[in-house]
Amino acid sequence: MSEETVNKKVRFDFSNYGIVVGFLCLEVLAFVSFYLGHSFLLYGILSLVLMLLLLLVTFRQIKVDQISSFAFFIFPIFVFGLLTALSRFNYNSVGAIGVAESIFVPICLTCIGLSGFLSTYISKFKIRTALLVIYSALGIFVLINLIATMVYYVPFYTLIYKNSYFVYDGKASLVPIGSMAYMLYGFQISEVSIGYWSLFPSLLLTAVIPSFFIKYKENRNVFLIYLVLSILAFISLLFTISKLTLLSDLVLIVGIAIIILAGKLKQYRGVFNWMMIAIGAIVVIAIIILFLNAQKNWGFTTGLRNAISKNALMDRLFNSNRFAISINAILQDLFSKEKIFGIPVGLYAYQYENGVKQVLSGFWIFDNLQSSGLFGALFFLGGIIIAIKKLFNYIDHGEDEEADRYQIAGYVLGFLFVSLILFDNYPLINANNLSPFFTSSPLIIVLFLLGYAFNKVKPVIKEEKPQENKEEKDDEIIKI
Amino acid sequence: MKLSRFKLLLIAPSILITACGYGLKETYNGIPYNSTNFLENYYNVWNDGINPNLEKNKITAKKDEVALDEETNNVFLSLNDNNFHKVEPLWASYAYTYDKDSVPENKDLKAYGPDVKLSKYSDSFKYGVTSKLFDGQMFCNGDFQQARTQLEPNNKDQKKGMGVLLPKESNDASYFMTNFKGSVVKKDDQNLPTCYSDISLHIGLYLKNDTGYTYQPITYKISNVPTNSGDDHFLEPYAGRWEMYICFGFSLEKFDTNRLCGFSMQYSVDNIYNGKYSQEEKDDPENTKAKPIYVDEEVYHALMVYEVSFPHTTWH
Repeated sequence: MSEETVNKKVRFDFSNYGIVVGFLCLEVLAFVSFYLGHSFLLYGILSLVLMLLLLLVTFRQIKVDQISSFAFFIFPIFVFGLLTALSRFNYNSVGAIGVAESIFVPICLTCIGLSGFLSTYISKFKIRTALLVIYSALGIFVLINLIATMVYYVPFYTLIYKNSYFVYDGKASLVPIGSMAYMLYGFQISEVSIGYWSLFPSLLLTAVIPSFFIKYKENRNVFLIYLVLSILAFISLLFTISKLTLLSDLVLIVGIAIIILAGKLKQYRGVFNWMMIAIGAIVVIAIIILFLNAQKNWGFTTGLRNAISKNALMDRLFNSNRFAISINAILQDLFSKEKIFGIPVGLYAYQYENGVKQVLSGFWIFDNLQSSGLFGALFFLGGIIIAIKKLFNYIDHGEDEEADRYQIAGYVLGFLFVSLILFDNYPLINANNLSPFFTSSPLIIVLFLLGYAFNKVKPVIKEEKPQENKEEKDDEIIKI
Repeated sequence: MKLSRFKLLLIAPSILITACGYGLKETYNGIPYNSTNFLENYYNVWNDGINPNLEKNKITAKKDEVALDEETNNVFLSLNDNNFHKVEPLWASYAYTYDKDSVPENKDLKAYGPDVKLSKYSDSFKYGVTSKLFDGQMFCNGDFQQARTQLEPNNKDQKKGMGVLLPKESNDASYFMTNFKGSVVKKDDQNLPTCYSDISLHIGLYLKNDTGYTYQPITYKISNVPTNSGDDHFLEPYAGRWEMYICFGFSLEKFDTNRLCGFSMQYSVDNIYNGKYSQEEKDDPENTKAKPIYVDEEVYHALMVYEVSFPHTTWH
């Protein structure tokens, strides 16, 4: 009798299928990385299925303290997704994502984050393989896009034909040739904005990071694959170089350099930390100025607004460029009822108070305010900040090899920063299809990696610290 | 994997990448011929090989000019014309009031323009300003200069119009078809009066030969071309839209079309009238209404061409 019970238990022990689900996990990551345009619904369904399968396989191993800690990251993301789904902006504006897909926003974002978290319990799931799959799929996608673009144009066309137009099938191009490129969007090659196109090779450029950590002699194949992917990204960006992509790529290259140097020169970690804090402080101050500058109904901001208008540089930065204009419109009347929780169901986007039109700036931090409301945007930002803090812990004390840890950091931070400059909510030149930030495939991969990194931090042994400190103090005393 | 294989992998796409550039065949500084100024939209472009204003063109042979005869050449000026039924064997299966993106309500019928457009036969017809003539859009539909090609009449000193060398050749063209209306702007007050124009249309066919091109000139006089006859965009639904256009065509049966590879369109304005009059009325000296209202110096004239096609032709 007891033997039969044991046999039954063995028969229904799903943990034996860990290797199968781990393989499925790689398949999903490859599929999502090989971007299919407006396929968010598909990503949502895949994420849900993957999360359920991972849960079946790993639920015996899940520890309560780990999942409760993880909830600090995934719960705000879920709330963000829910408020986004409820906001009428997303399914009532021109070319919006639709009611069905809106419902899948919280499902997809939560499930993919949970999948990343749960994948850490599968012993057969190797993050190095997963990263190789993610980058290879992205590399194939970038290569297809590059070839498609070069079939129509020539290298450096963004400079040569900067202000030129062409006529195709009886219609003149809506934007200059230098501002567009061809890309596999869904199941067809479509014209997209050059900024959106450049987002993917820019992301692929982070494949250079493992080349600095993997030794060629020890792991030749992996080293060469990442090297080829980096060269491909570099060629893509070089052939389509423009002022916008040059700026974003410089930011990215500086970011990659900081990540690599931080990894290589651990004794200067303090300097890098201060650099990051300084950059962060500048961004926060800029956001505060943008916010106050946009509040035209607040009397006490008049002085600041006048000061900005009178200074040519400040005026250029905060008033007279297309990004600032749209950000001002988004931040205006931020505490009105439509903007706190997003546009409620039953209210149309164009029924905004004060005649404020729906605008998108291309900066996801601000566009989240528009598409998900103030609370939604803050929840998302909060969740991401918590996860990034954990990511920094993972970089220092992660269970994986150094190359993998820095590569994950490169992908996550690279996307979050570069998408601030390059992301286009309306990527298609000849259509009004809204493709918001939260439906983009790199973000889904980012959430997976953040979920993974969350549960891969080695526990720090606290007892040893006082002794070390004591020794250090003793050393200092001796030196004095 | 050996390093040499990676080098090969890099070299192969690099060669492929630098070898193309289909989208750059014709580029323009700004959106071409899309000005609110009437005069800036004249399309007087000839391919160098067939440009009559160039001494070094490649026209090596010229055939005798043919003045089209309505009976012999099955000339038609409307798609309701019996001659059109003679040259178009599928005429009964077409719906003629539907345009580029619209679908006939009767599912058994096909929209004529989209079914005979040149770009249907090959994507190579889709490049350049003249792709407006090959896209199946036979009506304005509120697209104005984005839908039409604006021809300037010939003057005494210079031949205007357009000469287009097609990207493909054909041996079996059955008939030629073009769809147009007139437009006139007064020089003094920029008004666009509604009127009718008598024009002499000059069509050129170009056949490839061993050394260049053989030119076949063809002429036909057309009376009562609707001029500034309003915009069909505001008509519901397509009521009377054909009243605003001339759909001109003729059979190519009597012409040599061996290696047909280009065409040209020129015209000259004979007279402009304030109404639609028969030839008898115009010839009647006592009819004071049926008299020309403008002379060349008073107006700018243009022919707004929407579509050019050689229907049911095989292109090589």
